[in-house]
Amino acid sequence: MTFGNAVQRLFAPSARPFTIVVGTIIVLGLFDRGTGYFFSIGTVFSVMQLFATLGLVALGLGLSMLIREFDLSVSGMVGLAGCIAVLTGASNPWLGAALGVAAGLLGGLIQGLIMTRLNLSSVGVTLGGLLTMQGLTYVLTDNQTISYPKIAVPLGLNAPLAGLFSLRSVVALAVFAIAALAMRYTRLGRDVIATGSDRRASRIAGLNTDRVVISVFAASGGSSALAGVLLSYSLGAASPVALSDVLAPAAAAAIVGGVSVIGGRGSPMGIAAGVLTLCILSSGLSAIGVAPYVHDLVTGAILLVIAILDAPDLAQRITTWQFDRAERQRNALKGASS
Amino acid sequence: MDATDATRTPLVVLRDISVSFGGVRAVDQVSAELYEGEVLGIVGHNGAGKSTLVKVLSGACKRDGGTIAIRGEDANIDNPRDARRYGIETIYQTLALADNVDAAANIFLGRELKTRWGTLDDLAMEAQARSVMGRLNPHFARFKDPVKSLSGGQRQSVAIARAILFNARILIMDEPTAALGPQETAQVGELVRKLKAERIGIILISHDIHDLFDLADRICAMKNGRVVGTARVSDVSKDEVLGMIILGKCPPGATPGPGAMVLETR
Ligand SMILES: Nc1ncnc2c1ncn2[C@@H]1O[C@H](COP(=O)(O)OP(=O)(O)OP(=O)(O)O)[C@@H](O)[C@H]1O
Ligand SMILES: [Mg+2]
Repeated sequence: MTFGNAVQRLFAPSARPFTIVVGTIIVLGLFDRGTGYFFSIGTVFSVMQLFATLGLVALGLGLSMLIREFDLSVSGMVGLAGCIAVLTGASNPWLGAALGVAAGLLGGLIQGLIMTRLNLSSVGVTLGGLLTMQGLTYVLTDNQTISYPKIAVPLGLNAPLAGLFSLRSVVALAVFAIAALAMRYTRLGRDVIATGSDRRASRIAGLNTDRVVISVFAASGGSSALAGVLLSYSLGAASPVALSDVLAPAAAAAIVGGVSVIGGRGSPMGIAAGVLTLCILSSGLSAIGVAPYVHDLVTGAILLVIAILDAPDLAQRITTWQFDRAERQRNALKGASS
Repeated sequence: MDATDATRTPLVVLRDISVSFGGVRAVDQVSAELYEGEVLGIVGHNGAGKSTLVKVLSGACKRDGGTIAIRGEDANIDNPRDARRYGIETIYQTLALADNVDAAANIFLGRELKTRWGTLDDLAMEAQARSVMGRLNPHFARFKDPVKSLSGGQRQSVAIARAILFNARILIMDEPTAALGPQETAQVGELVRKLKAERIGIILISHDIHDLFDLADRICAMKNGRVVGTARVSDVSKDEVLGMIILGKCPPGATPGPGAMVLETR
């Protein structure tokens, strides 16, 4: 029973992402069996490099899921912001980065305004946004890969810091820290959870939910745009086709990270754990020599388990089953003693 | 209506308010007024349009027609925040709580207190939440849990606390005691009397005619979205009020509304 309680606590929605990431490390460590392929500084570094891109996108998408919306435009934002940064930052990388991120904020803001003013759902609006941004990216790049002339920028962004991190992954971690503090300590953070748990109730209780929605989509756009800027700068190139498939892993990371698809539950730290899980699976499985298609299988299995754990009456069914079993045991004892 | 009422400016005047949902006329040409320090009871069968009418005043529901005047001036109430600016606080029948945040956060939803650094002042909010809850439901202790995990009556207490914390001038209570136990209900009755003494205007929707006769000064009866009649509680009997609700029959002691059944004179 106490063991059952401990398991239940470890898999409670707020603790689950951290349990899963630790579990993943332990399981991969067992496969590693001291060969050092998995437990190496190189693996940590590559996990953090993956984290830098996937994390910022998953954070944006996860924030939109927190208010029970879904920002499909995140992958379009990554590509568009990367191109803008490479095109406008040729002489001054800071300018390019600022314009790239500004484009993301603006894109999110416009989508949020359209949704709230016209009372539309995010899926339709952000799907439109996604296609628009992809189209814009093709136009801006003329469907060519554009290389970035300043070699120092990719080198600087990717140079290892303390062996484990790079400037790129440190920036991503800093954004997560800011998001976590904002969710916990600011009014907007509190209002995001309230809006996500019941938009209508929050609105008639006097909360300006439109402002919350617009802010979240601006933040989501900005975060994805930053991911795109960092990625393009560190690759030293922007291409219209790069990373169009980041949406599914980002959604998976957010869900593994404890963001509820029905809104109102989740945290930046949980999302970070979810992203880490996916990144560790990806580099860890490669490091121990597992074929890439297995990554998807494992991620898919974890998502399915989480979906099943979230089934509304599962906990109750288990409790009922436990009661029944205890009852049967008591009856059996009674039968034996009489 | 006594002479003073006729000369005083009403706190709220609702004139010819109409709301339709699709083809359904939920509220049909309703006019009503509320004075300072007065409790106006609204009664009617399920679906009579009571909640919809008060939601127009609280900004939660868009009206198709009609005007609202507050203290004699036309009021623009298009959303719940507008209503709050006029000092209107509402206890909704549906409670309007955000399930995943705690009681204190629900009470301060949309007007959270901040510290000097602009961060949430959770301590101050919890302290105020505790003190207002003390007036209402002293047994309530679960300020830190998401309201999802509270009982129906505890949730209702949170909704009431939110409405009375912010110095309302106009308080709308839509079946505020439906989920409360007898002791808590009595406490809300006390509270209504106290707020009334502070010159607050209160609109109280209830199905409990006895309670209404206890607390209300006037009663407005609705049927099928229309006002059957409005009367001072001293001018009508409980049976006559039931007659208004069920039959739409306006007694002699009441001022008839558009929903009153036309009686042929014998
Ligand atoms: N959001 C809505 N959409 C469609 N119809 C609605 C909506 N809200 C209310 N109605 C309809 O409007 C009418 C009046 O509803 P309202 O909630 O005002 O009744 P009520 O008098 O408060 O009833 P009760 O005593 O059951 O609370 C009903 O016929 C109801 O079905
Ligand atoms: Mg009602």
